[in-house]
Amino acid sequence: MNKSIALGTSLILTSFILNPAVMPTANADIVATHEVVAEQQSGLNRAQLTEQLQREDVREQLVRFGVDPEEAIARVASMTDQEIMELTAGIDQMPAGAGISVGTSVILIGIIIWLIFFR
Amino acid sequence: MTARFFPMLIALLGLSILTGCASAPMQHRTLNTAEFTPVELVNTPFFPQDAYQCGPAALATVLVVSGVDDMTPDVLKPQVYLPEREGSLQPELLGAARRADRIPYPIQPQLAALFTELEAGHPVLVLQNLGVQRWPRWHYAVVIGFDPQREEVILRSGTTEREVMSLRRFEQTWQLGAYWGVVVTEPGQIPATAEPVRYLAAVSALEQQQRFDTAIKGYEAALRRWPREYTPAFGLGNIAYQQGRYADAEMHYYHATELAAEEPVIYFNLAWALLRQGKRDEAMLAAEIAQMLAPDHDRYGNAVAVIESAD
Repeated sequence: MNKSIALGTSLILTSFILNPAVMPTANADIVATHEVVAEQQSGLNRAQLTEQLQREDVREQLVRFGVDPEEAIARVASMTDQEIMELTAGIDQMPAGAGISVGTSVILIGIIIWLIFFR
Repeated sequence: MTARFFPMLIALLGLSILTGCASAPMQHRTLNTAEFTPVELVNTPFFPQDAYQCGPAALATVLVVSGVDDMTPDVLKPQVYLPEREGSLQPELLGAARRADRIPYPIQPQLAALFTELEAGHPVLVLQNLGVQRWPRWHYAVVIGFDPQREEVILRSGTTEREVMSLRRFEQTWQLGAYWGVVVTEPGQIPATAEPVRYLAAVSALEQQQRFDTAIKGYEAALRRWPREYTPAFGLGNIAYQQGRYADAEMHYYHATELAAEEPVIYFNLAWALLRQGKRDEAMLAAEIAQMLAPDHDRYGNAVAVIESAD
């Protein structure tokens, strides 16, 4: 039982790691520039595995929010670790710039004008 | 009497919410407008947005200015639009700029940085909140001009080709957008207000995605702008290494060590570049230096053993 869980988990993890689409290429040998810069910025040095899982998580969320699955892979690949972390934290709360639409503020102003002048 | 009093009270309450109860200090009050000259980047193209499409429209505007001639909002829409949110998220705009082989640079959250970029000829993509803090109405626009005398900001925004906002009103909307602004320059150009680490982080994102040609231009430009920083040379070395040009990598790493003689990471990567060329003795020497500089480090602390056991 425990063995099959362990096997299943490791299979899933391996499939993330081996999925070239979600994987920012990692060299086993040299230290990558983005790692050095990240350390310069904040001294943080995260585990590679967490990062893979987060990318997979964000990709799934994008699909859930209506993005084409193929496109979601390309989108995730175009973002930095930092940006992926931001999206993991709140894809549903982050500002989504939209532009023209009748905002709540317009409706509120309407109510206030009505209250002041037409009551 | 009371029948009239209550609606008034509610109205006043509503007004106080609308004005945002802004407590953070506004920058425009202390901004020295005399430092700036009037500027309007009139050649900036204009893409009137369709419903909810201000993200693609604003991004296409700055990408065309940066030399991506055939860019249109329609190309960008599938790359940045999030249907269930009816809008676009900031990280996705940055990602789409990279997919167009450009280096997006988020500027410092300051009006002064924004206007300095305009003076350098770079329009700035900004996130605004046109609603209030509690009921936000997020919007992307492109700032193309500033008139310091009249204290007015000029934007390409939504369906308005030339929107003029008072500096005060603009800052209110930009402050609610956490002063988020992005500059996209032509390859080989660095934003006027760029800071080394921030800019190099922006370039390394391209390197990580193996957009090597663009990243090389970014690092080379950084090397010219900040000749005493080692990271650009280090980055050029890493790209050469990833492309299998180990002799070039060695040269760039040596250059980096001249700029920062005590950074173990450079010697660590140098050791690999030497090893890949079959220079085993020199590689061991570089590994020893890396280990000596950071004996307790997870990675560099074992440099000698790692290089020794590598094939």
